[in-house]
Amino acid sequence: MTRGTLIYIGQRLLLITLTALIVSSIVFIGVHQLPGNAFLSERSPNPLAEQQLVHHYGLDRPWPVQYVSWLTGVLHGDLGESLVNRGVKITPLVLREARVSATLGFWAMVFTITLGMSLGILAAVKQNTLLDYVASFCAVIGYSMPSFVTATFLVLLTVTGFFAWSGGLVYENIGWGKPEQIPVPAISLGLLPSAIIFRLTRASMLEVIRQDYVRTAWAKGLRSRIVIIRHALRNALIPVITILGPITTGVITGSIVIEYIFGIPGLGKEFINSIANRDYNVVIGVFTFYAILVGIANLLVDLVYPILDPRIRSDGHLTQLFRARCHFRRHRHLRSR
Amino acid sequence: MTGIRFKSLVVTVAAAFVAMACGGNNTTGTGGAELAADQTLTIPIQDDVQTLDPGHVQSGVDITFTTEMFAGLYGLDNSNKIINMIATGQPDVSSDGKTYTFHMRKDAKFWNGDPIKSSDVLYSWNRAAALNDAYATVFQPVVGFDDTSNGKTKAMSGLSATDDYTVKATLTDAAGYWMSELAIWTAAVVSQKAITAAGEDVWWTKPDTAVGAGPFKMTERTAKASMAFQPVANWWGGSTGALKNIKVEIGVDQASAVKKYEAGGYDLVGMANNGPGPDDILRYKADPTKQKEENIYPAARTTWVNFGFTGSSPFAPKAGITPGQPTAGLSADDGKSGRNAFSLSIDRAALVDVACSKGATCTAATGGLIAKGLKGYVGDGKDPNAVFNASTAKADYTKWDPSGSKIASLKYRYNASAGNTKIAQNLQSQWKANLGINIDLAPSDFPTLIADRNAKKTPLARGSWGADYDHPQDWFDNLWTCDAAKVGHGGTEGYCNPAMDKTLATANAESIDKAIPSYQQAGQTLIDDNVDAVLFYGTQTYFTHTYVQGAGFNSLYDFNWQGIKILKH
Amino acid sequence: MWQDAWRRLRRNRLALVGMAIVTILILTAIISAFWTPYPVWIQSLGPTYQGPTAKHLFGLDDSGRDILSRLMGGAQVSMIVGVGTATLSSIIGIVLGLLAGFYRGWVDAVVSLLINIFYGLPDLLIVLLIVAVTQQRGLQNIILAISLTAWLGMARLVRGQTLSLREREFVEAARSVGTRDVHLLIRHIFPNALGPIIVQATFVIPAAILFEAFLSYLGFGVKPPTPSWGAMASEGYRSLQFAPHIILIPAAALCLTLMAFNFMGDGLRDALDPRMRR
Repeated sequence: MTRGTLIYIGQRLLLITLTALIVSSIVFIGVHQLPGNAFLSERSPNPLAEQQLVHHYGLDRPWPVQYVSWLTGVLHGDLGESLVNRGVKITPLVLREARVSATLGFWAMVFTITLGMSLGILAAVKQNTLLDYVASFCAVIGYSMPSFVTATFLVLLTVTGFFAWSGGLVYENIGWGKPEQIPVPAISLGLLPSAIIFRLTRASMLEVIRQDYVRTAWAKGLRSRIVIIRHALRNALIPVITILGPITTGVITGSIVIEYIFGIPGLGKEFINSIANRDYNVVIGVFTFYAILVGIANLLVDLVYPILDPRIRSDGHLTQLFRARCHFRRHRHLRSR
Repeated sequence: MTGIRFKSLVVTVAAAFVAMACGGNNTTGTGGAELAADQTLTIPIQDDVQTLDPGHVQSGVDITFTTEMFAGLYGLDNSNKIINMIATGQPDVSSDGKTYTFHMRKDAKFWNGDPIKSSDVLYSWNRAAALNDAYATVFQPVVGFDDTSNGKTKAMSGLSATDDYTVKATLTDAAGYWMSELAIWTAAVVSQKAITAAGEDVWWTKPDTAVGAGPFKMTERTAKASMAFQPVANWWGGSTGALKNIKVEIGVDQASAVKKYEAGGYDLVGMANNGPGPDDILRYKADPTKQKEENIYPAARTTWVNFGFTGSSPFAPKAGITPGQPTAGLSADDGKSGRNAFSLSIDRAALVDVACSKGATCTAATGGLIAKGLKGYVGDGKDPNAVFNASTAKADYTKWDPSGSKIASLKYRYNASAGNTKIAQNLQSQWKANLGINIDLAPSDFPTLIADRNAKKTPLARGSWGADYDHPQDWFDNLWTCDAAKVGHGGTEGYCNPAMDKTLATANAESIDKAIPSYQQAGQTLIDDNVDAVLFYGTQTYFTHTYVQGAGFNSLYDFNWQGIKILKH
Repeated sequence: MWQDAWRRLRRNRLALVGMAIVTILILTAIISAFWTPYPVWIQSLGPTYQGPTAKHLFGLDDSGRDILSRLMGGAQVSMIVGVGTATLSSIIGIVLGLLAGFYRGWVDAVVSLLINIFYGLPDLLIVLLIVAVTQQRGLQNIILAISLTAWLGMARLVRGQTLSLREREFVEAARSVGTRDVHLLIRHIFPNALGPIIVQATFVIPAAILFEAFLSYLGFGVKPPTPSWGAMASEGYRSLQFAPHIILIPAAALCLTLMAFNFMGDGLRDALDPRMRR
């Protein structure tokens, strides 16, 4: 690891921390500036009990003091205590639910990358054939289907449609914990990103395959084709890896709705529930966690990226990587260096 | 190469999915009569309990848990027959019906081991009367109740203990319904020691201090999150049944409850007045495999639209009436046209179709406020306010509020659940379609709604009542007397009719058969005064897994926990 | 250049289909502001969950409301949110992008920092937070909330365009004549970046519509009984097995709309920038 890379990693970590803190702070301050407090609209047993609750959570202190105390807690990994469910510490709750969401997200990504890349490669190789047109058309459809629509479709298919004969083997009912409960939510979550990956893979592979010198080699036959495809594949991986960051963000976004529909006890469902319950501590805690998570994901992507593409090596400039993340525009950013 | 690679990929992925699918093993058979090893019952409720203090309990949710934690002289079995609990048998009643002598068991104890004596009974009953909450009227027949409930005396003069195990009660008048009242939770025995040690507001909130004599005790409570109960070891009343643990999850809305139920997270949905929503009920009806898990029980429950009769409510007969002051027999009733308009503009058949799973879970109410099937029901079709008549409604409304100023700040208050939301939205739509007015909806949680309703701060709100026992006194005394109309008491309209109160008082003293015509007459008065827009008579729906036996609903209450078993599954 | 683009666009059949659908959508939205077969809020028009009939072409929903009318009303909501967000976020993004790209220095540093910070965050979370915490559920609030995350893409694009355009000869020439900065930005740089800007804006619309659908599906969208396709889908999910039309119809409308905008956007991009063709 070069010194430049180390500096770069350091800068990125700093940026992530800064991002997470700034965003969470905005959320924290914004929430605490709201009129009223979390207990007002709930009927408290009596004013004395409410007083005790307010004091227990430190809500009677001036908000800058609350903020500092919260910040200190976060830096120690303590995200606080739930407002609605007394005694429930947020950090273990978030970690437990993050594991559930991570499992779902992992399988969704497996599906996304598998389907997207394989179809993309196939379509590129068989460009302008029926397969290509059908696949591309389907990709646009997939790209236009909100995850809850995909989910509905799949549930229809498995519960009353084609798979109904299996009597619940392919998809059982709502919930989490059994392996057969994974495919349908994972596919619902992963279908839309897979369309993106498909287009990306196809476009990147075509960029290589369609160049003149390649066309000649291509015409030479199967062996050359295999070599070309391998080379093109390596090329195609780069934008895919690049876009993994935004895709992860997209999967996190999508998982909120999917967890809601399928009753999966993950972070997304917790976020929705705590907003509905006005459990602001949990809301802020989950949000902070997400901010850190996404930051790390993007960092990893940016670290892997230069390894794959020797033409783009980081030399410590943030804005350079920033520019490098534009997918379809590989040529352009090469020129502007 | 790509082709092969792609195909093998597809095959691998497909195989993986198939493997995952075949991996699960789901048998939900009913098994034999074998009991499961884990006798834990897990149920959801949407809103937290308001209180579990028998002297304060009034809402259906609270009742289920309170009746398992606490016991009084008498109780109710699964068919609502009065059974002996701490009492050894029926009381000795004097010939004039005014003196009751109760004999107690000598072995009854609180779960902490303290023996129960007649002093405890006196303490509990006097306390309930002094607290003067919604159901304090249970002791109204007793001499001295008025003074105690008003705070003038600490104990009812008509109650006494002749010895450690005998309680004597003198009533002001014979009261045929009093035994039914003694069987409900308000007459349960509570521990003076525990209450004074822990504090009046707090004692029921913690497992250590929620001391009762019932078959179960609270073992865990996290406000707004969860509760747990376990049977009392060596319970003096005999067997506590098969269940070893009852877990309650709080804060679960109806849709999530059904979802989790289907995933096996809950054993049943519907206990403690927390049933599934209308869409899910319909879905289960339409699905042959799920139908056997759905049980729709008739419930002695009426739902209506509450009109406020006091304060600044536009529906009041005149402005500025203090709750507790007469609202009937006044020279004019300025709110009548408004109440008529709002009631006649509702097509109950349409409402039932929308809000009650196409009529599966309720029937349109045409016979007054007391539910059909109960004593005191006025009669089918006897309520002219419940007939849909859009043109009359519109005429009434225009007469009442030509400028629209009266309804300007009016909102329909209700506690948000899937079913109630559908009712609210349908009412909103019907008022808009038939009267041309826009009424905003204001959902809240149940405790807030109860508090505001009892404080008479809700001119237009959802109202509902499930009978506690089959006697009209249960309805009138709790909802429509001048006493109930006071702030903090359960009469949510604030309706106060002194003449009707006199009729009721006489009827309460008579035997039920003689009293029925008087109650029906009172019911007719409520109709004539258009006190509420009665909507429908309801049912209670349970979703129960086939491996749960002994759970159910008997039109008034949930079946006792003692009879519930979990079979092997 | 524009005529070239138009010619290329016309040849793209998919894009034409997309544009046709979008036009129908806009027309429906406008019409529904004045007339729908039945009022969108009125319940109990017939038996609940009823399937398509002659009187109600798309059937009735779980409360007996006419689905066709609500579909039209939902089109209005979608278009308002889509176009509103695209407009607002584009204005913010263009202004900030131009300033950042042109002046560089600390302006650029601030804008880039902002973009960097919010780029990685899941936008749905931020939007949910804003909408839920402020407890306002009007259309304006939703548009504002979504725009606050959508301006990033436009700003980045415009910044990049400005950065490269400012080095071009015509800018040097204009500068040497003494043209004011603002004039430069508006009259010279902006028009040359217009192509990609239009494409980007076109893609913001379906993203915003999708967002609003998510919000209403979760129950944080416009207040009922205002119809929204996402809310309609959410209401219909529970009756999926015995009345699938309640969810399928708004879901199909949503997909069709998103597809149309995507085709149109693809077509526009190909037409306006031949270098980016596949």
